Amino acid sequence: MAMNTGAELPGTGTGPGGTDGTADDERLACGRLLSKVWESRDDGSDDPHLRSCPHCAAAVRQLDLLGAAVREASRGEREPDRDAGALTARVMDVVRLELRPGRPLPLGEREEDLWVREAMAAKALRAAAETVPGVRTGSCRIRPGESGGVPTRGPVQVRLEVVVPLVPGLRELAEEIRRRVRGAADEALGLPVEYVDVHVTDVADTAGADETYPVEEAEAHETYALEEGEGRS
Amino acid sequence: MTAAATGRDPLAATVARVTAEVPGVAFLRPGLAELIRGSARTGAPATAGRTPAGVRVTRGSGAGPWEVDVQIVVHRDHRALTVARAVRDAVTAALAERAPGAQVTVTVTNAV
Amino acid sequence: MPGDDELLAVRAAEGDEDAFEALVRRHAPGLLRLAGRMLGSQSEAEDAVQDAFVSAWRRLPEFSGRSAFTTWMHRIVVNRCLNMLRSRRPVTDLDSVPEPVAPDHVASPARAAESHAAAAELGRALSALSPEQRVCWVLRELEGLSYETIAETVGISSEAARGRVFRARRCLTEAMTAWR
Repeated sequence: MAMNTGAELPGTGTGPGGTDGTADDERLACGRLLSKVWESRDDGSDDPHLRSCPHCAAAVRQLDLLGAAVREASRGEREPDRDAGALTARVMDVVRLELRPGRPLPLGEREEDLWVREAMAAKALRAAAETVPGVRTGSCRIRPGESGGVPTRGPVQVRLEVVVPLVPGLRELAEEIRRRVRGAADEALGLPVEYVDVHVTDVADTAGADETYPVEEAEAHETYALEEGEGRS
Repeated sequence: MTAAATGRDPLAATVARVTAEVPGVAFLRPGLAELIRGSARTGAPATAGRTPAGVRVTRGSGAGPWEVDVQIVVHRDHRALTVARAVRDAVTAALAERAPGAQVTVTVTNAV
Repeated sequence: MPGDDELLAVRAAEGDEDAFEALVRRHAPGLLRLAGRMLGSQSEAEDAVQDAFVSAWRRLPEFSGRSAFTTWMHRIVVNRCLNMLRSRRPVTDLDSVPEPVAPDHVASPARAAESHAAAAELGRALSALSPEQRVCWVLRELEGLSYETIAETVGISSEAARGRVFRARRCLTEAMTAWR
């Protein structure tokens, strides 16, 4: 048998190029290369030769037998769904040992010494934005205010990316998102906010169920980005 | 051991105790030990008998004011600022006699 | 929902562990199946996928989103499996011999019986492949990926992927012909 076990060196990204190609290909008695015959079979190309040539037919039959055995084997596979729950729990146990809470952001008044971590605050603000029907959120970055380039305990700056449903009045929708984010920053957190930028990165067609229609990023930003701050970098 | 070091653990224990009683506090930010015991998933980690990871009590100099750093996980339906203030006030009050003028910093690290 | 993965991945990269949990829940079944096919052992597959997810959590901040989250995740799992296969002693893993199940896809009863026993033979032949061949073959034949996607997942050229799948097929068909 032409087994190549161990013929390839581990760790080589491209593999031993020459031997990985068609070096051990086989030319059938009819002159066709085995690799080509199998490829035609794969592609489902209708080559008259394949149907009439006994050598090719034998080669194809070998591949079909293999395919049948493969389908057979997949049928006997155990359904992994039932293991997934336990696995998720084990993964999350490790993840909770290695959380990335992000930087502290100031809660309350300037003179207070109370803080909230960025990751937690971002979760609350994303959740608030998603109370607007059809809106889904991605990145939410919250920067501390600055004074002369130095972070201060002043109000923070929020930049939120959203995917919105395709509805008339995107501007109003973005305004509504911003209002709810500001509301949550105050009511759920107590985090003073300087401004909330809402960036529409995608528009999802609600009529088309799960289909999403990406809007040209630049255009989306130009058209729909709703920014509160003026005269800042 | 210095006097400051002797006083640290009882102070931390007091901070942990009063913090846990503040409404809206789910638990102190758990440290590795608590997490490995698996209690973080189900609720409040057991803190008896040891200083929890969420409390740090330090003193810049022997005579200076104590600095108390508390890191908490809050319940999702509570306002983070309100809980943080309540923790600060409770800790400040509890330390008023043994550590007057203690500077209390409260950080909300997560919500559950 | 396409696109949803990428939103969740961005959030997870920013420290949202709930978003990451949603990704794990969503992708664990498929990745467990993939790893099981590559390793031929369910318990090893669980180890591989768990390690891969933990590694993904650590590396997410550098995940650019240039490739889809699934492709990225596949790549981590495949690498993990490759390492495990390479460190293995060359023995036949009996786990990889599948239980025959009644087929409904083969034309004649004769072929049915034939492919029945062939499925068992397949398991043995598979464990004789080199890790690289086995991985490429599984991605092509069982996961139905294109050669381009296999190339991206394994980190080789698509010609190399094609070559590995071909050689795996040859080994497998020869093993099965010899058996008959």
